[in-house]
Amino acid sequence: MFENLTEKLGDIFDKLKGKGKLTEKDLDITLREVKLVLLGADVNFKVVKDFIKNVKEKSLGSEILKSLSPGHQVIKIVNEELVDILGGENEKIIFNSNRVTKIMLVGLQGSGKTTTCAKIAYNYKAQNKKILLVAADIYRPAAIKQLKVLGDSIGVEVFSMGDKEEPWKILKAAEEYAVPKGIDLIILDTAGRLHIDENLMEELSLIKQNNIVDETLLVVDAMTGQDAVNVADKFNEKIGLSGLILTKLDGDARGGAALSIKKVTGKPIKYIGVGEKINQLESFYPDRMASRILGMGDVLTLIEKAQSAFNEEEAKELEKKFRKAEFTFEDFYKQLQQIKKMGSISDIMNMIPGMGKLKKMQDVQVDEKELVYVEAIINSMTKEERIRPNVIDGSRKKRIASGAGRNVQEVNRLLKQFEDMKKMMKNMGKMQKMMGKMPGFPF
Amino acid sequence: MALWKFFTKKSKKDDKNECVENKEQNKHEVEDNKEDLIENTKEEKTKDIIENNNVKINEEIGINDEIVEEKTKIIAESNNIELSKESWFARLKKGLSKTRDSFTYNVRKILNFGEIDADTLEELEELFIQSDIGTNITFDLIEKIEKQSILGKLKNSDEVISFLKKEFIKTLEIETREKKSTKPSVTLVVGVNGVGKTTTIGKLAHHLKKGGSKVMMIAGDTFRAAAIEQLEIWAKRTDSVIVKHNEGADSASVVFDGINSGISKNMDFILIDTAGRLHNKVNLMKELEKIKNVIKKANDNIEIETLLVIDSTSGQNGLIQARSFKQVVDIDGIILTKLDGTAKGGIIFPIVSELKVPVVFIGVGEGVDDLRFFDSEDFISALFD
Repeated sequence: MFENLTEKLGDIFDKLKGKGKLTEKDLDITLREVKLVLLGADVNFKVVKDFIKNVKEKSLGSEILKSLSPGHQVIKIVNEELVDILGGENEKIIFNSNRVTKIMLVGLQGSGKTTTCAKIAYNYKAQNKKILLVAADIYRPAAIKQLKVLGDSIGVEVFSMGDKEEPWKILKAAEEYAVPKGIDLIILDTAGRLHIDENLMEELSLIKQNNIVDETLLVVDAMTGQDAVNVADKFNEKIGLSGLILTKLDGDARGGAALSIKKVTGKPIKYIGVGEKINQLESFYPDRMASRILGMGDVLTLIEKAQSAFNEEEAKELEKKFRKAEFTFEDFYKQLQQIKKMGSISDIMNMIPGMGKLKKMQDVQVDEKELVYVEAIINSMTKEERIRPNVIDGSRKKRIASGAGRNVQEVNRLLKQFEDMKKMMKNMGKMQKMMGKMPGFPF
Repeated sequence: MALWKFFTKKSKKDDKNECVENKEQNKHEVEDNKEDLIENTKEEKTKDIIENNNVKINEEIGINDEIVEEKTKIIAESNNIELSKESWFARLKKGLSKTRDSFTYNVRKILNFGEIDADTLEELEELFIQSDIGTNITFDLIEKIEKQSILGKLKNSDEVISFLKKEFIKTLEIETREKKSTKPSVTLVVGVNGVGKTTTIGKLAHHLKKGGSKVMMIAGDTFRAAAIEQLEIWAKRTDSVIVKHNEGADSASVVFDGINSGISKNMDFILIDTAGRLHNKVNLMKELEKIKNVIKKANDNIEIETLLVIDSTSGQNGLIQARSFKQVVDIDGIILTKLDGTAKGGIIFPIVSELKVPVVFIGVGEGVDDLRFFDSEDFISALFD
């Protein structure tokens, strides 16, 4: 995410950091480069203009240019301005405690509304909320079916009245249906529409005129260009928005829309979609995003992800095993599953400070498949083999390899790596004993 | 035969320089309606009549297909053809009207007072950036305008506008690649998520069926929920054959089956829908490569045309998308969709300029008829006039 932007800004700042003295001309050259990078990343040109102006004023206004490390100071200002543009705090969906909460997703065609509806449902289902998805895209062929399939896959009921009823009536009926069932949250999926299509915009207004809608969220494709701001502005003007959801942020080289829309409409970005899987929706934290854009990593999100994926009890148990080097393939397998819950390896790497650049430098392609292979090999082992790997002889190796669809060399390699790991743990265990207990994470 | 040639073969242009009024596009329209007519009346006789008659065009009447059919039938009988569809060019203009308003209007506004100075250039620069044409082309244009104005060649807004028109047309005019004609003609439609691949296939099928071709769709998007159903509805609407497997099936194997079936059923056109994929997902891009390979495996003689669908609202990332897709599956043409919004579709300029891949179709609305052959001059004219 944002790799390209991060990398390019990083290059510019690297040049800046080396300078002991900074003239106004140096600053202008740097800011010109920053401007180009931002425009190339589709940041709205008006936003860029203000941004550059503010950074320049702040840099010139104080004693920064004469300070000892002017480069670092300028970077700091850029960071502050970025956070300012992205908005302050993370804002969540506000639940109404007295009645069912209703949210509605709107946006252009193909921005990802239907998928996002299901992702939000999945997210809140995990928080023990009772959810009803409501299908009101009565135009796109098979849109209702799409929502139903997604609802089924996550065990959330989908309410539909076919494609003949008006959306505002559908929502009314859905609420009547939901109340006796004790539903907490209704998520309304609407048809994709152009912000300049008067009739369809009127359809949305009607929904809001006839129903109390707690949140109206605009779903925006993060790959959108300069027009993103116009679209958001129009939707806001016509139907009133309470927030934004940015989708498809798992691609590359963008984020311009993210930087601009919040600034121009004043509406907070509440969620970001970072992948096609149902769990790949994240809350949006402006400050973290700013650090990510500037290549400073996002440790907070990483820790949160780890916390939600790892069970503390299990972690403690594992730690014990670690120290005693009783760690088995069985445990290893569990660990793999937990890491997988945190997302892909490259996602995780991106959140580690400095990793973005490092990854680029070494041109390391993280092969997600490797993990799948390891998993397959462990899957092909018997329980005994997992607990006591030293029983695995030649013929067992052959069996495991053919079971996993890999070759014997790979099985050998895994066994060797596992032994090495155990040795390392043994040493670490000893060291820890000497140094006193360290707060432990298995890996 | 190349898919886009099929669309254009009957709309030869006589007068290349004429791009002011609707005449040319109406010609396309007439030809298309001729095809409609032929199909509707199923009489050779009518065909002769149409071809021997002068054609009048009436722009005002609505776009309802049924009305059109009714009307054309009646009118054809009276030997006097009046076309009742809102002309394609008018619709393109309408679609681009937001662009046009802002672009031409703004160029004029910027240049209205006095000569071209640093401030004017900066304002022009902002205008170009706003239309998503990217910083490279923007700076190139600004530099040229600056130079020309110093030399006294550009003095007022009209001159600047006509200069820009020429530059834009120059950028977009790329020869389409010659491909050998095979039957069936196989078209692979690819792109990132949500650009309008399935809808575009529906519209393409509609056109091809109108021309009397046998069309097959292959539901290669086995990933997105209900993507297969969506394509099925389009197949039903257009009366095309569809080959599908279940959701979650291997995309390449559906395609393999489809191609074989298409050959044995003697299809003229096979349109393959694929799952939307972000261009930076290595494995998904490899899958496209695999799909291309299995087509070759099914029949080595088949020429595949790969069309990349680009959303006209997309920003600079569109160029990166096009680059990646071109690298992996090679791209023969671009389909620019959703031009009926306020987005300018400016991203096609850097794409065409860098990758030398032509835009072949554009989508300017949600109706089945709102996908047409791309003509750079018409496109630019609609943008400016």
